[in-house]
Amino acid sequence: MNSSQLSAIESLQFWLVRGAALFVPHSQRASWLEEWTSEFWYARHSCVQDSRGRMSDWRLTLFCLGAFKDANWMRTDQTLSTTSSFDVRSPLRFILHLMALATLTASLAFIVPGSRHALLSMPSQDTRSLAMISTNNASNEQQSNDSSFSISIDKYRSWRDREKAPSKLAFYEPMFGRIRVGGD
Amino acid sequence: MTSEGKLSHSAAMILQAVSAGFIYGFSVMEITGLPSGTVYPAMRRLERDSLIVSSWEKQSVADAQQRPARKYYKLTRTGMVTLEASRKRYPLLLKLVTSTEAEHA
Repeated sequence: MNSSQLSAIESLQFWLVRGAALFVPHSQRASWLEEWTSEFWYARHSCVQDSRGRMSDWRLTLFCLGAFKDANWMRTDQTLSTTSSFDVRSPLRFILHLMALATLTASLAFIVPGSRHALLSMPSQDTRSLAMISTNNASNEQQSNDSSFSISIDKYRSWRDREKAPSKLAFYEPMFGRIRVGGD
Repeated sequence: MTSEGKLSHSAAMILQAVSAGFIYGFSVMEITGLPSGTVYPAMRRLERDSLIVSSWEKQSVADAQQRPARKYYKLTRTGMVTLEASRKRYPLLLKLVTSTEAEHA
């Protein structure tokens, strides 16, 4: 169909369909336009046969305006089919979806500064293999009165140099406070 | 979409129209009285749900009659089952669109 052969109102109708085609996803635009151009021809042919003049033009214009609704449906349906390609309603896919989310969340958690330390530093529960490293200026008397097994920082350094260093280290900061033991 | 006839009245009317022999968009629009903005998206939805299938008419046939080729629709097996269920849900469906009208169209 050539728009130059049409009257002003027919040109408007023709360009309405063309304009609506812009809303159709590019991959489907050609076939959509082919269908609407064909349908427009039959609608126009039917209106001419009706010979109802201006009313027919009005009906035909309404027909063409419907192309926008159809084009919008094409766009919406295309978007939905793209986004819902991963159907989480399937149990297996739902589990995979959750695993992917968990991996992503854990990855993000390790990227955040300080979060790696907070996540991985677990206090040791095995108290028999614990040793307290004390500073050099701590008095011998204080060390001897301490019931827990302690080593000095110098001894720790010598162990470390001889590759006998402990496999894990935990750092505790002493603090003073009154605590109440027992239920009374 | 299931075959239990859970179609809207408009969609059921369109399905009935296609079943009655109104097999292209504009004819469905005319017989149902529904606007183009309802009929064409509804037909696409029905096709997406495999209740109808479309096919283009041979260009040579259209050229011989000096008109553009039409896109024809027909009911699928699922579409027929769904239409049967819809007829129970909408008892007046058969009276709204009959195949007799298609013969005279």
